[in-house]
Amino acid sequence: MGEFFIILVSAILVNNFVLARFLGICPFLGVSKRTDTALGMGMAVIFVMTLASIFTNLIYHYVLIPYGLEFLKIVSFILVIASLVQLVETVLRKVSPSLYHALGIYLPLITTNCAILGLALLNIIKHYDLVHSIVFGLGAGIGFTLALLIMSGIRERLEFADIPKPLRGVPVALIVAGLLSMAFMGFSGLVKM
Amino acid sequence: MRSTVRLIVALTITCAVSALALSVIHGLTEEPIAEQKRLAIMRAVQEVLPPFDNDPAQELRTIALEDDETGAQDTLTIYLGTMEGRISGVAFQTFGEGYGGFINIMMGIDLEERISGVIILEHEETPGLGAKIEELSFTNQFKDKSLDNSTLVNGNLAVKNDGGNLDALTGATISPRGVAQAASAGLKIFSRHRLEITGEETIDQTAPADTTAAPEESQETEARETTAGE
Amino acid sequence: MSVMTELQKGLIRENPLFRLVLGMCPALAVTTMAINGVAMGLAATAVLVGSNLVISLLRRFIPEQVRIPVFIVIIASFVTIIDLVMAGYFYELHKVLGLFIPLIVVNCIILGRAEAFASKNAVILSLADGLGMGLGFTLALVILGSVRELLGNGTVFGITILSWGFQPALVMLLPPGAFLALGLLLGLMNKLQKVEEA
Repeated sequence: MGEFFIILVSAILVNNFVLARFLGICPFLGVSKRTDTALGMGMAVIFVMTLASIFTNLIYHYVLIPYGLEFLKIVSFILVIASLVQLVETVLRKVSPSLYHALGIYLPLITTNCAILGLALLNIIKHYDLVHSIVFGLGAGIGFTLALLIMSGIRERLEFADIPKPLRGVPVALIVAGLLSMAFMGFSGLVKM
Repeated sequence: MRSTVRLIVALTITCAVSALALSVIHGLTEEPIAEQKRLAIMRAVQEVLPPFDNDPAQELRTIALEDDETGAQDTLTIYLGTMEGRISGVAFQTFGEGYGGFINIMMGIDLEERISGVIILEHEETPGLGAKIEELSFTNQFKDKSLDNSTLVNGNLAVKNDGGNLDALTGATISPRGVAQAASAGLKIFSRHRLEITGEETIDQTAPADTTAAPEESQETEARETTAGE
Repeated sequence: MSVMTELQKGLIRENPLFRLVLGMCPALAVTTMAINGVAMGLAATAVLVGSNLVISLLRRFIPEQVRIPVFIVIIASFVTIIDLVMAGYFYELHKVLGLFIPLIVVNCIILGRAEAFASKNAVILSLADGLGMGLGFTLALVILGSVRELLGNGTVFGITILSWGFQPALVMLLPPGAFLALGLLLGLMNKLQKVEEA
């Protein structure tokens, strides 16, 4: 039980996927302008990440390894992820059309969210079994959402600030991300991981 | 319906061609990849062994580790260095816990159970801080250290901050601690399994207080070590 | 639309990292040293050229509805090839780039160019586009990497430039420094473009 807690804390705070591992930057910058879309995107990502952890783990251990096909992991993982995102899109369109429209182009772009593929590959590198992968996926998604929410809160306020023209938009967002990353560095050493 | 079939066919053909192409490349690169890994390990082995004149790649032993020794491995591959036919030292990998994850080192030990060299193989330490354990200026200090001639803390080699006599790094204590941990674990493993590896008795055999002839594994050596270390 | 125009646009005017703001994940992660930027940039260029080539060749045969999955499989295959080749022949670089080699698959630059250009244009032009974008990306990575390496370590490509009296700002090699450096560079590029347009 304790080690699951450690994995969660590590993925959410200590080695935050966005602020420490540099995964998921595109959607992080793209969807963090408003808190409600940020929350919606975060939820979608948590969902996809947890499912992706499960399916990629199963495929790797029950199909790729038994047949000696580990070298196909990149191709098979990305196909799994693309299918999952397609699934989420279809479900979301029926369940919450407003969120579906708010997320717009960013929903299919979850496929190219390096955080998801990065998660699947990290599970392999860390030799996590199915349960540990799920916990890690959950933590990664929550960490991503956390970073996204903090960022959107700040950016909503930045709208009213007088930012020099060259820095408006992405540059200042990156600078804010840098400060956030520095803040999160304070968590290192929290768990020995 | 026909168009759906067309879609499926297109996707299937793409996947099939891809799988085929990748199998070919995989077949071609399998050897070079394994070779590179082997070379990296042998380079490290040759760096840390005490002077030798053989090819350590040809002299390896595998031993099973006991429960309290296993960290990330159940068996250990040990490379032997020989000089004029007689074993001069061994080299193998051990692990310690660093700041960002496991630290994997290759260490060499001579027959007096002194460290002949340490090389960091893999780590996840912070660049510019803990990552400086890679530098020779740090790893060189492990040379000639043994469990007998160092200030031990809980029977292990330790950094100065913890009461030992190893230098740490400015701004990073946990990484050096991990290396010290790995090195200590290695020394202990060698001491415990020495007979198995080299066919020679442990050096503690010459201690006057003890008259046990054939060295019993584990327990006796362990007990003697802890009393010696205090 | 000539070959030279396609080649050049990716270098400066439509630089994928600085202007199109694509490919930020690997850009931030590997640029702790300028040489890593070169390695990642060239690996990505290889994949980009390969995938642009194949997709352009097959553009009339790929049905529109499945084009994205097909593009992805093609790109993923090239990435796997580069990954295997690097592991076999460029072991040190492979270790340094680590996780980010497979992540070239989701580098938005590659899928982006496949969708926006290669699927609609002739082979030679697509090749030029891929090469230009890839080299532009490499250039951007080298610039970012050089800045971070210089401020964080005093060296560029391993050569010590700033030494006595210079205290390296270690933060430049760590995550916060990456964000800050890229943000400020982007701001600088914006400023330069305004100056150019004026």
